[in-house]
Amino acid sequence: MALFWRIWLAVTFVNLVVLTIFVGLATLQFGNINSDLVGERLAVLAERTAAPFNAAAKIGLPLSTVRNAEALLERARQTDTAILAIHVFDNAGRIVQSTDKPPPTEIPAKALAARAVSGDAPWHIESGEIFLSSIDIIARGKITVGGVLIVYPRSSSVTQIRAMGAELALATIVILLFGAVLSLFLLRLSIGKQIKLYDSIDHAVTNFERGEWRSAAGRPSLCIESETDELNHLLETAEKSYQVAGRELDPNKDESL
Amino acid sequence: MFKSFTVAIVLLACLSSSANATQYKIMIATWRGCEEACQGFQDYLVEHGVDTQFIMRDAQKKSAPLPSFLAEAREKKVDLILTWGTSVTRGIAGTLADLNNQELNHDIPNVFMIVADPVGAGIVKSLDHTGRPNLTGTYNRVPEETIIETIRSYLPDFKRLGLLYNTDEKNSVLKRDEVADLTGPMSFELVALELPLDTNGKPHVDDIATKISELKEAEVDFIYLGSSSFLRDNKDAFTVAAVNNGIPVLSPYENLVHESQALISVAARYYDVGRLAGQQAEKILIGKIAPGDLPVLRMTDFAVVINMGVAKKLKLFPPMDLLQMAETVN
Repeated sequence: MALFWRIWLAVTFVNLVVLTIFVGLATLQFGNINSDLVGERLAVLAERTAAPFNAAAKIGLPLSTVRNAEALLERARQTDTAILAIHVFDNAGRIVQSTDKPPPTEIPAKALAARAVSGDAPWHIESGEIFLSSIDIIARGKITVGGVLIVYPRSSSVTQIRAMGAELALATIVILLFGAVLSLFLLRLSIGKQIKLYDSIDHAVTNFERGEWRSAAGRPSLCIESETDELNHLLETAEKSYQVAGRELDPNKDESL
Repeated sequence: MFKSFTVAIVLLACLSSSANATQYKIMIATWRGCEEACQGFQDYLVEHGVDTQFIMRDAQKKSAPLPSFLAEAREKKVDLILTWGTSVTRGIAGTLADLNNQELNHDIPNVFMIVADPVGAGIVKSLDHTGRPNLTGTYNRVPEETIIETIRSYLPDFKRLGLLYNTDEKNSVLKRDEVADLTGPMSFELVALELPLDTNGKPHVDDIATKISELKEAEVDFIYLGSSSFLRDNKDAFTVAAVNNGIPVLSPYENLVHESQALISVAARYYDVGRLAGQQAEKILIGKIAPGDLPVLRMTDFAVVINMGVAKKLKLFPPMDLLQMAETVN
């Protein structure tokens, strides 16, 4: 029976390892997808926020002189209460309009670097505890005059990832328990006979050895009645052959014997 | 020891209170009464605790009384003169060509506002350096290129611009010339019609509708008001005639969209312009900076305002991108 439990434990352990790897990979994948989704959502919002500034830039109004800029940015910010700030910046990265009061003087250096490598395309990056998403503001003649930058917290995304991880972990425990019980039954069904046979052989060998020791000690051997009589018989025969062979090979043997 | 310390404190308090009690005299010379800009100027100084006695003088759209305003200002020893508009500013402060004319103001600090083109009108040398020791002001116009681009954003097929001007206002003629200079670089035609002057050298309101009809015959796509106190004062006659002829009007004065039937404006609020002039006055009176050392302060808040009621009448609805940034009225 010990063999059965060892097999069952091994199967359950393998299940545990596979499921843990699965949970880890799935959580990582979810994190990536979540990050992309947040980035895409913010990119759409940045595009919508930039539209009126594009219109202002196209007619030649400097971004800093758009009178209702504050209202336009606040309206965009209210589409998601989690948004930390929305800035409008010029080509040098100086913030010219912002929902922050007072506004910072310029956008973060990481944002400037990301903008430099993105070309004209919208971009988003994760920086510490925040997401930064941005799109350029284009004037007539496709001249870039600045951009819109949305600052969004990563905390909600991290919470979502952790929640997903916890959910997967719970599911893993349930699956593991279910799998353990199922494997118990399946192992019993599939290799029960073999295990029983193995146990009887093991038992017979043990009894045989015990009998041999008793006989060597001059005590009567055990009377074994079981389905493994044939095995006992074979073992006894083999033992006797072994002893005979041993005596024949012994250089000090008594020739008269 | 304690006594002398107390006396010193009391003396300091008296000195301080007498310093705070300084009341400045400011003459506000207007062309057609105290409107939003004039109000904004006063509000700014009151809000910033500048104790001021305002002496209000209105020219009632005539140049004749302006010399008497200056004489009164000298007599009353005012600390600063605020001049509203090109005509009043030229009438009191003169131009760069009048620097030796003692009948004009070269002594009392002078701040101007609502001057369409102070450089073109010869009032100052440049916006950064006025070239006038006692004069500075504010500038509240967007570049004319922006006006044309706004029209083009509204009406992408725009080709011909109509403009009325009156030669009795220097600013009106200057604006016509400025727009005419853009026809080549910005690829549009300008149909500029002069409003005839009567025997008193003034345009007549009845001629506005006639001239608008002429612009209609010339197949203009848009009418630009340019710069004209006359047209601004007769805003209803001007904008209603344009709408009746199915022509949209772009005004550099926001109130023509709010209060009349101009379709669109690209402008700063006059009230804000007045506050900006208040900043200049504060720097001169409190900061003791010579006006000539102050650049002409430019407005930084502009808005596109669209009258949706007029757009509906003209069946000329604004494009979405322009509508997204514009303020609308009905």
